[in-house]
Amino acid sequence: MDEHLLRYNTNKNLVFIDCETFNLCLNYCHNIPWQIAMLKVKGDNKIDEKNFYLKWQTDLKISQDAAKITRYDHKKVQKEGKDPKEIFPTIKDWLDHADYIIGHNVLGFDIYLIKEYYKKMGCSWHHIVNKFIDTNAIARGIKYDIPYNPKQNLLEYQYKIYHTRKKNVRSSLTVLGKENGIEHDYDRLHDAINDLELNLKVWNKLKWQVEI
Amino acid sequence: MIPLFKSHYSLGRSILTLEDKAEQDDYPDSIIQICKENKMNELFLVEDNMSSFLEAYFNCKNNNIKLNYGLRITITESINDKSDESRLKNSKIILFAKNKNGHELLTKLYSIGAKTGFYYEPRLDYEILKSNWNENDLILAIPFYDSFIFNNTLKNFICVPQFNFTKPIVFLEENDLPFDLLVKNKMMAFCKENDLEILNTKSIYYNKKKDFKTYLTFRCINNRSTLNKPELDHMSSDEFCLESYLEGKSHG
Repeated sequence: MDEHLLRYNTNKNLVFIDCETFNLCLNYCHNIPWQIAMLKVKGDNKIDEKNFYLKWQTDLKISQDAAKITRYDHKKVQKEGKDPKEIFPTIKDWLDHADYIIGHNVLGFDIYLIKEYYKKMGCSWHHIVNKFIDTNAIARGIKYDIPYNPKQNLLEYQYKIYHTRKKNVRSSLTVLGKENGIEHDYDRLHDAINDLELNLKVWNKLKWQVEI
Repeated sequence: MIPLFKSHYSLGRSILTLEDKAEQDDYPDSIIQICKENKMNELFLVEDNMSSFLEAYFNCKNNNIKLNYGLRITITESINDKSDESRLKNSKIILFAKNKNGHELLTKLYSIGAKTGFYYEPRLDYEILKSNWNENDLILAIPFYDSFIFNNTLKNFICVPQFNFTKPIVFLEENDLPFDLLVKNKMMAFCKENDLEILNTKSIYYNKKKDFKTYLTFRCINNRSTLNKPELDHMSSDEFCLESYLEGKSHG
């Protein structure tokens, strides 16, 4: 009866995504992603991963805070970084063919960086909007006791939760991981792949609490 | 498509002035100058207060530009309710003055909103709007952003519209934001259900797309934040400008 739910459906192609950026601005006029990591997931398990360092032709500099928090390694980005034009087809392919694109706070942040990336590469991005699942919004919805009604538009529900602010409700990946008793290397957070692996573990707990 | 300009008189919302200047020099850009450069003989100015009216009126008159002045104001269920919960019933409407009487009515309504109705911001309610309404003097428009449809769809608000005294015009916009289509579909359904007129519009807060960074800086200063951490939800689109309006117009 509930076979349509994501928790049971192992055929759906889920792509987890996380962007590490120069700062928290939502437009490329002042911010760019220097790392984009993705996990391809079916059911509970990762089946593939990509971890790209992006080398942009830009005068923008990473903020000190962002460099510290995201452990930005300039030498590594210069050495391993690729031309954004070169890696975009893979990112586009993964996102365009995903049934759902999942990330933590993806609706408040990453979606804008991804959108800008599509636009910069001359591509339309509108077709991927309805695929987004924001684990931050889903977790807060559960904490606020505002359940998702499957008859409702999922994006609409997530935006409603996103715009609902309640005091003393914590929903960072670390908090959710620890609250759910998830074993993980919490000291390596803000490494994009490590974040995504925790994100997947958190999603694997959340999906039992929401009717998606 | 109708360009809806906003000036710096709407505090912290636009970097455009209403100066009567002929040529494009350094910042700031002026709405009057933009109208002249683009041979616009009609200006739709939508402000968050009435402060700009005199400057707009005289500078438009001096340049043979027809001024359509609109006041964007919060409407709520009851202005007597000044509780935190009442803020979930807030949404925006735009009132356009059709003539001199309309301008006087706008001034009166803004005054009520700013004095009696004030709770964090000037507010009107449907009862006050209805009792002061005159179809010959005012036009009511529902803006795309922060309307009751927008707030009920994206913000978990509980706004109940009561437009039984007039037929509002509904403004649609497309500014490359991820939720635009979601809101647009809801607004179109509402218009169909209530047989309302729809107008495609474009809110304009700066001249060119490249001015977005200046605009964002201005917004950050007003928000006491920084470009590195703007803390302004969804502030990502550089489409709220004349350049985008002209592109949209040329694409039909």
